[in-house]
Amino acid sequence: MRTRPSHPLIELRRLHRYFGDTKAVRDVSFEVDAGQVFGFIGPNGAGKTTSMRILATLDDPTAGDAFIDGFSVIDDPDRVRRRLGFMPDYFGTYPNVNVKEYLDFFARAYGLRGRERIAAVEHAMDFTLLNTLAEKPINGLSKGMKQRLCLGRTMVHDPGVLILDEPAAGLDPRARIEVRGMIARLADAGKAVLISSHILTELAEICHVVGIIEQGQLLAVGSVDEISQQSQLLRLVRVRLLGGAGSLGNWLETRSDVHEIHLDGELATFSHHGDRESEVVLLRDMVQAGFPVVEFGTKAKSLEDVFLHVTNGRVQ
Amino acid sequence: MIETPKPVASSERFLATIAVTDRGQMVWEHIEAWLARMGDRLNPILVKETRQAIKSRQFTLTFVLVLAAVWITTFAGIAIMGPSIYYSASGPGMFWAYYWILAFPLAVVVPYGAYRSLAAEREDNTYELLSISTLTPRQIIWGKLASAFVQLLVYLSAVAPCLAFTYLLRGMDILSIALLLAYTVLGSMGLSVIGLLLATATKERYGQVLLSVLFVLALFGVFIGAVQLAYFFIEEGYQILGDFEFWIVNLAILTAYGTTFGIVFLAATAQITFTSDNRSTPLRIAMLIQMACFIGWMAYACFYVVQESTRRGNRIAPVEEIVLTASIVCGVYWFIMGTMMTAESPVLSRRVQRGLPRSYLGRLFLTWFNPGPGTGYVFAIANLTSVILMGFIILTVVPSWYTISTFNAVSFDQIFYFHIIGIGYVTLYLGIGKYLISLIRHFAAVPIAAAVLLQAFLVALGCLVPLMIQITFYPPGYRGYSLLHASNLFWSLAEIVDRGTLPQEAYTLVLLIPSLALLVFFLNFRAIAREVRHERIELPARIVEEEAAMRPPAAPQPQSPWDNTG
Repeated sequence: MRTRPSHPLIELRRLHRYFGDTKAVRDVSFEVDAGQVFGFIGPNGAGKTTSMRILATLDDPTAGDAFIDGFSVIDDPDRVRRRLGFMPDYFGTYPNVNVKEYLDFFARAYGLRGRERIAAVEHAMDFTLLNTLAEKPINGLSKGMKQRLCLGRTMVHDPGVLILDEPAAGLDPRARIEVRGMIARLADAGKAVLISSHILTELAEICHVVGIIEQGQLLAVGSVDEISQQSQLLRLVRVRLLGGAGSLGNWLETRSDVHEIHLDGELATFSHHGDRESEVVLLRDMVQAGFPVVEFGTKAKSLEDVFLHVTNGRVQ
Repeated sequence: MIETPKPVASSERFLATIAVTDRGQMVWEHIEAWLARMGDRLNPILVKETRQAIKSRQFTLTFVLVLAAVWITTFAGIAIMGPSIYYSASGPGMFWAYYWILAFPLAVVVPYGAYRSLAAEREDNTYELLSISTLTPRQIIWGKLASAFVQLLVYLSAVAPCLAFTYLLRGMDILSIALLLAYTVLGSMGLSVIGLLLATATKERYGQVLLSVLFVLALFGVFIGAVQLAYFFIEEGYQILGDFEFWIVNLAILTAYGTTFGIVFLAATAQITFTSDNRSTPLRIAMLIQMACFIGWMAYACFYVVQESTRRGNRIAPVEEIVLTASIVCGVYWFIMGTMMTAESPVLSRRVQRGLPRSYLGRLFLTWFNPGPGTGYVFAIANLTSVILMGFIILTVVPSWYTISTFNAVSFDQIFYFHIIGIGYVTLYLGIGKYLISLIRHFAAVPIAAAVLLQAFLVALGCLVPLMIQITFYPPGYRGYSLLHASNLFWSLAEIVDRGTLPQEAYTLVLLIPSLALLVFFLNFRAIAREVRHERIELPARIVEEEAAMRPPAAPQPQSPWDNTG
């Protein structure tokens, strides 16, 4: 059983990466603790993959440093590699190799020997549901199977830190659900997971923390709710009034914290600027003003809304 | 009650059979476990590539082709020779035919396969996955080499019975066969390691394509050369096998092979090592070892020549020619190595700084092994100077022991001037190149290949500019050497030793070139001093913590018999 370290398992400290005049990553800092899933979101070319490659010791930062389990990716990549599993956005498969041989090779490459290696390969195949495909040549696998195989390769040496670059890209809904379940189980096992994806609903479901990056800069870090609050997002309010919502429209227009009012029979929907407590105040004011409220509901903005708001809608 | 008779004998036999089967199974399980343990010790790349090769069509096809070729050759050879096979020495002819078949996979297929194996890892993006595993760069290169060796053994096993067959056909002795095969195998492995170095040289696709074409052409050249050499050896070899000198030359060749193989291997490893690691020191140590071997052989050659001359009653031994040749080889060697070392980054990573020597003596002697252009510059010049000093010691000491003159074609003055001016040129050109690289580095990164090209350009400039001036401004037909060509190191050095006496220009050159060299050296001095001033830094706390966790302190041991009581 692993003891939880006192330091974050993943830490980026003022990371910069320039390619000539292009500033791919600019002053990015964040931390990921054990058992946490960190969702890295941003448009194409925002600097997600570059940051992940630096963490995976495949690239050097221009300035700043990154740490895995307290070890610098610049100075101690050998120690970092022992603790890290990196799943890039490409497969990287060999011809004339079957599933078991592929996993066995990477288990050997990570220094696993004898029974330990055999058990690790079995576990990786169990975890990724590849047992029945052990003897199948990897070139004949479907995309979903390959993706699972790559996840198996990433975790075969039981690393404490997993960095997954677009693990669900191009997968059908069923395969996505499978991969999502696997990632959640890895986090439950105490691993720090850094994951990037374009499918924001998926990230919202499994990530404890998200980081929004655009043009190399980290714009916001925190849970979806925290970011919503930090960025003072509008919440959607839906009110149903007995006998029609027509009169409520005039009353709402007098309030400065309400926008985008839509009336439809008994139903009134509008955006409300404020936190949960101010919603309570709004409902009380409504009832005190004599409106026959039979239904009052609010809906937090989705990760897509948060993302579009934080990035000012500049999605490429 | 009738008792059923027990089949005593058959049951005993049955039990005995089970016992034997169990024992057999146990033995087999032991063997299997032992094999598994041995397999665990093998390089993972070797295991993976052997599995791949067994399944690959290309390997099977090549192997079958080689096998078919040797069979056809055997049948055709026997058919052509007819009855003469019983009384004539047909071994050499058949051996040469088989050698053609063996040399092709060993000189072309195996080295190119090694090159492609690593290049394909880069193209297919599997190299990155490999590099972030815990496999060290050395393990990666060893794995690739080991795979090439296994492939080589398979080809050899297909042709070996036929080569043994040539011994039975008379005319080929076992020693010649063994020697030829040994050199072919060594050559194949040497070419494979060069292939691996080339595969690491460039990541760009067009660069890989260009290198690929050039490498294949070179391999075909080597193949033709190997077959020609084999023919010469088969025809003449038996005459020199008994010579002592032949085996000494072989030993010298093997020393050169071993040390060069080591350097190429380390260079390939350095190419794929992460940037903060020390990629230079192992190479510098390997260069030093190679140079030490070279000096050893140079000294041996001098002693041997003097002894032979004394034995034959000659008053003169051409030792100066050996020293001069060795100096030229060393000059070229250290200039090329210096070119690459001066292209290294001046920034010493924190990881390297952790391993710097602590003591004053350590800093004094080992600093020059640290990565960096300044230390590399001094390392190259210091080594060249040491070799030349060794040469002078040999030139003066050896003849005094044997009372023999060592100066035959050139005088001591000529050799002295040649060496002083030679060191001057190397210091001057390397220094200018290093200084220019440090200036360019402010604006752009300078890869090693660019640094080598820059140095080549500088030397070419030094040779061609005076020549152009001479052609343009001097009377037509004037082709003589003058001080105008002082920057032309080849012509200047050739002028000093080519003529019977020291030329007039040598007196000016011996002042001019070393003075300019000193000037350039001092121009680089600040940068060198900056590199020398680096001091060892302590390990980060996290590493100390991990090391301590991996090596927990030993339990306190009793200091006296009373410590155990209570």
